[in-house]
Amino acid sequence: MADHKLRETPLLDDLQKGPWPSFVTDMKKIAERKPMVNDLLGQLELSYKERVGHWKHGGLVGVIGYGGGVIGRYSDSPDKFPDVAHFHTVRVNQPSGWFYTSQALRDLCDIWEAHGSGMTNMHGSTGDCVFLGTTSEELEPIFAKLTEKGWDLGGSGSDVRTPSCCNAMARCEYACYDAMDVCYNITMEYQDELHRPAFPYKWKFKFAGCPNDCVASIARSDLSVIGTWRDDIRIDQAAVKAYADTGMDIRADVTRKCPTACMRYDGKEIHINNRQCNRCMHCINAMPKALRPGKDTGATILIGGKAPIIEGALLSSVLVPFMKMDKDDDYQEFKDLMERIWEFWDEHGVNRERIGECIERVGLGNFLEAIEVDPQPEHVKHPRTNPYIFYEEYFEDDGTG
Amino acid sequence: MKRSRQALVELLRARKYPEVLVTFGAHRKTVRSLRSLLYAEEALVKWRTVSMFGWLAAERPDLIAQEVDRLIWSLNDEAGSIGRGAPECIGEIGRNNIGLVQHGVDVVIHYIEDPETCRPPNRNTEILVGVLWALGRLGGGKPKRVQKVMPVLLSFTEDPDAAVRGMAAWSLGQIGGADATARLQGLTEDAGVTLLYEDEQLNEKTVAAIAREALAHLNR
Repeated sequence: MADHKLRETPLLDDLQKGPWPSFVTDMKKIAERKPMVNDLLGQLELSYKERVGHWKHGGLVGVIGYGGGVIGRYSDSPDKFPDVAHFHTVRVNQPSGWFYTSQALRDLCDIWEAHGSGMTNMHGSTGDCVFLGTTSEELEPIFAKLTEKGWDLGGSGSDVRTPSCCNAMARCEYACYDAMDVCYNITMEYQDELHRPAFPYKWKFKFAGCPNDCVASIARSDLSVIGTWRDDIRIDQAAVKAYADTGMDIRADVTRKCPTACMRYDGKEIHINNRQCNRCMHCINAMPKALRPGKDTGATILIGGKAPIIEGALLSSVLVPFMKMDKDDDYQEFKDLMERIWEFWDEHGVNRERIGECIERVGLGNFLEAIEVDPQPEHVKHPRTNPYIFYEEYFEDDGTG
Repeated sequence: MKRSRQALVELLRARKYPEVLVTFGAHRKTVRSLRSLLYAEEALVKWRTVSMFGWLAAERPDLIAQEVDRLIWSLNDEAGSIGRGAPECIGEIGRNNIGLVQHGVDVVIHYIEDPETCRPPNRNTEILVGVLWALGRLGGGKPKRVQKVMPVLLSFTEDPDAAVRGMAAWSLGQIGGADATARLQGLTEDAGVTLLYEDEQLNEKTVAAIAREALAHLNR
């Protein structure tokens, strides 16, 4: 039994009805032992009643040595809800692919039970293990205990946000590069950029092992690294026959659904015009025993994805159609590209402008020239509509260049 | 990466500001590395980085043209950054090249005018102390720049935290004025202890010593 009076929450109680899980039910359980969560329920009830949020804009809180990892939250009604006067969020850098041991999870929960609300968000949309609700005084003790157990804070503010990746080669036969290794490598390489904000705005990396893009990197990251191949899809015609023998309608369910119509089924075998394949993955997903990605694998680097804050939502678009993700070279080609992009963004980006917005403002051509990437057909979004294009060669020819 | 960060730290400890550019290059990446050192755990490294930005403001303003905007943003970022060292940096840049920080002066002034950010329970004392130091740098010799916040600045000499009282005293000693002198005289027996960065050195001092030195400075 709680030794404090539990808040009345008639409006929130509605969210406990029905057969599905309810966050209100979970919070009420914790509220019995945590006054902070009890006040959180009270403030949320007030927000439902008044239809107004009662959190103030983030404050300036953090741990010594880091500029990010903690997001300050304060109640605008601390007199009514004193236990959520501070309700800061702590982001913990998750392991690549979100693999935990049960002991690691116990360690995290023990730390949070002792120093915070006990509520977690597993995981935030960036990928971090998120601890919800603590006070400024608890931040350094939490940080000390986390680091003692080998954990570290994630990113927040205008820094490299905690990179995340899919399970890739750990669980998935489609992985075209070791996304978990790249994610770990990049996280360690850019520790300074992750913990000490120095960019115009946030920068998100996401690593997907194949074009299925299970981490939705194309929509949720400024820099998406999506596994691909540049040779031919591998076909096991015997397995194709086996699928047909089980009654699969290969024409209806596979070849006719190819978005580029690059494949056909002649009643016995599948034939693919690989030059036309756009890596939609439908056929491979539909017939995983018969079709596999090619052997010459690497990744496509895409840039500019973001959720709608300043400008509208953007999907990442192709920057480098194919890059070998070379572990032996410590992914140096990728890192060199990052340095050139950041140099440009740092010079030309304005505050609160994501790289995708920056590119739209300055123009893709200028951006490519600055980061020393040659224009390629994959960069073209649509045919040009403005006929007045003057190429540099024209100026050189007439002596004005 | 770690080695180069350490080399940068060593140059700052030795106050070899021009050599930072010679060693690491006169470009934005170096400035970005410097900005990350504002979060250094070692207080002296943070403060020397502040001095480095002051040196850049005087000698290579082209390299830090966007810097004040970035620093202001770090104090306003809605997505969880702390802006450690930003007020001090704005103050030091402004002291050396006021043309680079026009909006920055207003932001620094606004910070202590706003009870939401500089009074408990929301305040971050380290940021507040940095703001007080910045006001001293910006207002030293140019009291009109910070005149509007003098009443608030004076009120911090009564703060329960010695770090706040000490820095308020130092700042008043830089800015001057009759009210400042009267308030400083009231602190000459204050035994509270704090750290003060002055003349590029970081020293532990009592509030009383800071107040007495401030009075001597004003009487010169």
